[in-house]
Amino acid sequence: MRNWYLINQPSLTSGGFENEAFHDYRDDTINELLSSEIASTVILYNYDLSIQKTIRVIIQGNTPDTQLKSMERTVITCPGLLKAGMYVFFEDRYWLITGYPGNNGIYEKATIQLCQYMLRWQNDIGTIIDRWCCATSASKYDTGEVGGSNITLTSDSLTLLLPEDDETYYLDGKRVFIDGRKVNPVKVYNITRTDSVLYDYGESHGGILAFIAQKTEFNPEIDNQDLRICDYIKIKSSIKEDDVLDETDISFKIVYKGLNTITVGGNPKTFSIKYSNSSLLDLPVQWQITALPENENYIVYKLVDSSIEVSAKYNESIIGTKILLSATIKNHTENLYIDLGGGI
Amino acid sequence: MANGSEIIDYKNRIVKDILHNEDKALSNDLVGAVDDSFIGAEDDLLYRNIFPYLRIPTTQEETRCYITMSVDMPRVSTKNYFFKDMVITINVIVHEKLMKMPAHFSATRVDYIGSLINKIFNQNTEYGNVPLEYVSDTESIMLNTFYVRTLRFRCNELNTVRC
Repeated sequence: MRNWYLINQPSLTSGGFENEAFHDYRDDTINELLSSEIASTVILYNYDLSIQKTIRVIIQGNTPDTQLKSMERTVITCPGLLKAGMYVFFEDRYWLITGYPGNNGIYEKATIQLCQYMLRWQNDIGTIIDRWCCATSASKYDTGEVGGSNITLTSDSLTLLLPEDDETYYLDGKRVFIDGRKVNPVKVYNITRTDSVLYDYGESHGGILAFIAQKTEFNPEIDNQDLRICDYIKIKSSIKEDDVLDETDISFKIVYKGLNTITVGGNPKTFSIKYSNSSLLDLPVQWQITALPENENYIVYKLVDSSIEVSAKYNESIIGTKILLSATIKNHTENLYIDLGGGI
Repeated sequence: MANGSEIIDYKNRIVKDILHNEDKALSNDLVGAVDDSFIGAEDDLLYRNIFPYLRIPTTQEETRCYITMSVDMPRVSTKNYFFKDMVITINVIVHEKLMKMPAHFSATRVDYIGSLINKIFNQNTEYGNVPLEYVSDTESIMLNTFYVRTLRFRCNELNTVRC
């Protein structure tokens, strides 16, 4: 006899109670539905797209009646797969799971929203971070201009939804390009408000962060249009390509906090070595400071383990000059020019 | 000098003194502080960063420095009707992101540009019958984004057409 049934024959139980029937049929019910033509194959990604999984889901809301609703969907799949902050990739677009995934014992359901823009920024150590974000207007009836009697500036506000992760937690205060132009973006926004609690659904259900992005001015000096990163910090390698290195491939650079500036009459600044190869840690470092002859008496230094603390005694005449700090490890030397600054 | 044309003459002279001062180093320093990519092409700063009126036209989308100006004749001298007061107001407007200058300047950009304007115009003998008098120099904030330094200079000008 042909098997007319869509659902597999469950294992026979002697009870006959509805509850037992529910347990018998529930897993197969959703699996059979997901294997049918009403389901779709999508890719489920984690927050930074580094982990992916192809799954079958039922997508609802595909024939919406308003433009706003056309950017939202709900997905239904097997329980335990979905978390807020994950991306669902289908129809060639990334969708962010924004709602708390619900579960009725048979299937899991979550709301997803269309991501229109790939947001890009640098974290504090210079790593470039990319995240797809869902943007909505937070100033729908704004004319786009704000001004006083002397000048008119552009004005806009957006609400951004992003996955909750270690990088997006520190997006607050950063400036980002949000511009549909493919080349030479000019629209810059300042992230002015973070809501980190509103959409925190706990570790088992994930979470998203909501930001307010406020329109601000483009700075051609420090905003990199090619890389689409505002306040761009170029991570310089202190190794020149044509350096002849020792056979042990010594690779290191002089590191410090903040700018390579010492305030004349101010606190000492510590300069250390950052090695590319941890086996170099035990090698001794020779430090040398070179200054103009008339400034030498004002430069003070102190060796602390393999680091050096450098300061400058107050004298107006040395403000604006430079000193050269050199670190030598096994015949390989790295140099750093340090500005002697003062005032504001 | 004909009545009423001093304002036009003053503004032309002010722009010339800023962009093409006899002391070329002073002009270069000022142009460099406003936008160093225009050193050697100072004239292009006019109507981009430097405006011969008070209000910057069009919506601004970049972080920039601006210099705006006005020339006023607030009153005829009450002591001698042959003379009138001329007041030159120059605003230096700097975006907050551009305020910090390299360490060796030891000054904010708005103060530095203001000091250069002061060097150009204070006691300048090319305007009016007496050297330009440095009247006031005040700082203010605009739209929570720009810092403004307003400098005022005053001189006397003849009130009648010379025979």
